[in-house]
Amino acid sequence: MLKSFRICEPGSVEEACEFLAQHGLAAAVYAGGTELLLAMKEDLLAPEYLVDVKHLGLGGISFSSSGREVRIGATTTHRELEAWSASRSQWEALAEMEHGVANVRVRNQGTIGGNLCFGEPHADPGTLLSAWDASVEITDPHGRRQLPIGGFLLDEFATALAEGDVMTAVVIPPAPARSGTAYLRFGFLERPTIGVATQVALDPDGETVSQTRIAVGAVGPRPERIEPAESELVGVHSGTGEWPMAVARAASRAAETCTVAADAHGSEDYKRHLVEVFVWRALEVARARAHADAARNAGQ
Amino acid sequence: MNRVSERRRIRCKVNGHDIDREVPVTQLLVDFIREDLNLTGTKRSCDVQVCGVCTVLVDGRPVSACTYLAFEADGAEIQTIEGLASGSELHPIQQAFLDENATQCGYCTPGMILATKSLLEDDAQPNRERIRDYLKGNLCRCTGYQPILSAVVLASERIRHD
Ligand SMILES: Cc1cc2nc3c(=O)[nH]c(=O)nc-3n(C[C@H](O)[C@H](O)[C@H](O)COP(=O)(O)OP(=O)(O)OC[C@H]3O[C@@H](n4cnc5c(N)ncnc54)[C@H](O)[C@@H]3O)c2cc1C
Ligand code: FES
Ligand code: FES
Repeated sequence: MLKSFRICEPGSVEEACEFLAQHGLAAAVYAGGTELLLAMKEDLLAPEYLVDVKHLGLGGISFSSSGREVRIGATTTHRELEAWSASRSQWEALAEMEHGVANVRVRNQGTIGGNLCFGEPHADPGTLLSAWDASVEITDPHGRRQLPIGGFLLDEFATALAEGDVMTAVVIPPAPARSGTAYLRFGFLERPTIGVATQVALDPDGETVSQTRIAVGAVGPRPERIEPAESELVGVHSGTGEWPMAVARAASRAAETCTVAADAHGSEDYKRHLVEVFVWRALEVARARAHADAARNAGQ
Repeated sequence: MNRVSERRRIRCKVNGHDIDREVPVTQLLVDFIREDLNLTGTKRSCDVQVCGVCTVLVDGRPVSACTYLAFEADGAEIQTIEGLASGSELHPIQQAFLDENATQCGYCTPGMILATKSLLEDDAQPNRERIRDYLKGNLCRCTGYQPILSAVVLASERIRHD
């Protein structure tokens, strides 16, 4: 049973921010409620006011005027993102990630903003967004600011949100030319035990790796970019025997350097093993996609 | 202007019937359905959106009634298991579950059938992989799932050939 609370429906984002700033811990942003209501059932949170942000026009996905940057409204549901990306071949990694989230009921109700703002480490979106160097847009009573995702997800259940803040959007920068992204997840509980996102970009020759990004999530307190592993691949020729050697090095570097914490999903050793295997696999998928993207561009 | 409320009037359709009630904003949809409307086919078990026994369709989409505030159903069309049969004639999905012995204790069955309904509306001919994937959030402790998969396949065939 839920303890007593009231619903506040603000007329605008500004009103929401002011109400939240005024009431401090007594008020909580309410979107899909899939995390918030559970925390309230468990008495972990007991807000007096739930501030409903679902009717403020914060939903939907749009391209910037240049047509390449993508803006996802904070109250866009997982199902909406899943459907949007499933019909766009360039967004297969987003489709893979969203399709794996929870179950169909949670995806119908839960939002991308709620997922990120809760800061639950066993989650998927933050990992993919880290590999993409995405940002989040926060509105407060005084205006708006953008933060890189890495500066927003600070620790388990800890984000950069302050009282009076509402996340209004997630912004994904354009993908580099001749690139591919992969998202792989694995787990045997409801939530992911591990999620790995990789991006591989190629030089104009369509073969040499110009840039790689590797993000690992769910095994530690927050999604983490593994830069020492990324640098193992730069300059490597992706169509020769150099590639598997470099991937093996990158995967083992990731397993060594990644922050992991033992929990109900497994021991530290087990998780490091998973990091190695999944970084390896995800790099192979991203490479294949980068080659396909390069071939498409060359054909144009 | 901020509108702050403790109670809300909701007007919705439940299994095709018009409902007009006032509810506390704290009330969960599962309690509204079971206690206020006396429709006890919708079950509750885990209470944390994992098991799926509380599945109902809101505007055709499955949600966990255990973690959905009843006032949010204002303006919506809700379907519960009670709304599927017409008179004494079972819905093809219900009939297929019977024919394939896809129900034992029956506790998971209402949620399983409603989730199947939304799957088949989305994809009239899902393969087994798609069925498993779609129903992964509906748990069954009795059947071992194989009869459920067969029932969904059978239902999809019957609905397509009707
Ligand atoms: C059974 C189950 C399985 C799950 N499995 C997965 C999984 O596999 N992978 C995964 O990634 N996630 C998983 N999740 C988490 C799920 O993705 C989130 O529950 C959902 O996205 C949260 O969104 P919401 O809109 O329901 O958030 P709410 O519950 O409404 O809010 C969550 C928190 O964020 C705050 N908040 C919400 N929106 C905003 C905003 N715009 N600005 C500021 N603060 C805000 C709220 O105050 C609250 O603290 C699972 C959840 C459940 C219940
Ligand atoms: S009771 Fe709602 S999902 Fe289990
Ligand atoms: S029939 Fe008993 S739980 Fe499924």
